[in-house]
Amino acid sequence: MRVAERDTVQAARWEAIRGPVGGRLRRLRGARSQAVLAGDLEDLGYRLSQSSVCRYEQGLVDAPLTLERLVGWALCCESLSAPAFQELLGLAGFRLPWAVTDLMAIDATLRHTRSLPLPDQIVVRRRLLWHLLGLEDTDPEWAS
Amino acid sequence: MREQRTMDIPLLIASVAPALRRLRAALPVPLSGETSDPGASERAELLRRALQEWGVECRLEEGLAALEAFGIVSGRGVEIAVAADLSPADLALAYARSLVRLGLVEDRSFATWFHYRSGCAPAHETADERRTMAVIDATARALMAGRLDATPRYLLRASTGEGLGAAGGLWGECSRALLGRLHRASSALYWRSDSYQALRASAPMVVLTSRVHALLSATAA
Repeated sequence: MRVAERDTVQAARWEAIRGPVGGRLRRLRGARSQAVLAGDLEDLGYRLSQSSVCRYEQGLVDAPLTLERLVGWALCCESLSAPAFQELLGLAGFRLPWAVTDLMAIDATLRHTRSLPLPDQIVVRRRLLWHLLGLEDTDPEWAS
Repeated sequence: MREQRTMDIPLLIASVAPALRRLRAALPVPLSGETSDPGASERAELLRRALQEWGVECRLEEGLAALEAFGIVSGRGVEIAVAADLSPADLALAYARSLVRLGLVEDRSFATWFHYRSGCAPAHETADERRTMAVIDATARALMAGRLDATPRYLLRASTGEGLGAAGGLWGECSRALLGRLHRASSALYWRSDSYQALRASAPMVVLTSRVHALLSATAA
């Protein structure tokens, strides 16, 4: 399949799932505000504004959600082991090579670090993100 | 993800201790009132290199405010992150504590741990966590001095019977069992009692335990 055809297929696929994806992203966020989530994502190196968070949740973003953004979103929401995250991965066709028990342990670690000062939280989250994805935010592959 | 390496941390600790002891012996005698810690940078570097050579990724992290160090064990590997602003002496101690902690981490596919700066431990820290940290600190200080004989011999091993050698005959079996029980009791006391930690590190106790171990080991062999 040519690049243009692949792109068309992927765009059509995203068009079909972006509504359900948005609903699950909203569930992942829980009681956390969109501003806090956007701030946490920015601390991790993502370029996602509060309005982008809002638009993703409403299924209004045209560009497909990347695995990096999806994992970062769940990490900031301490919801890597949540059923909604597993559903999201399935919808988007992604797979993380992590057992649910490990994801639960990571969520527990993330909740534990909430009591730390913000700079410590950011360092720990960045390292956990590396362990999850194998990507540094300085790597050229890092999706912004 | 790459396969997680099985690391023999007690062996790593045992291999790095003689080098730390030699380093300490080579230091000049401190002058009265001197507050600097000569050799601290060398100790920190020695520990960092040893950890790196055994596959532990060591990172110096800027901006850690409450944490002295933390560690992550996962399928991608083992890493420890240490606060970059620590003094050479604190840095060496942070590496030593991290090394001892790795010896206590259960064999799981994912694990994390946190070591806090003095006065920064969270209010929700449990008594068990405080006790574990006390044991880690005492063992790390013994390691820094190259004096592992000041701690229970099998503190970091899952089984105290490991390394006791094969038994020979009924008397040998009895000696081996007794030795195992003594080591287990010593480890258990070390975990529970600060006083025993201090007693175990005292010179007469080190001599006594070494002699008992040698006597019973010789009988058991």
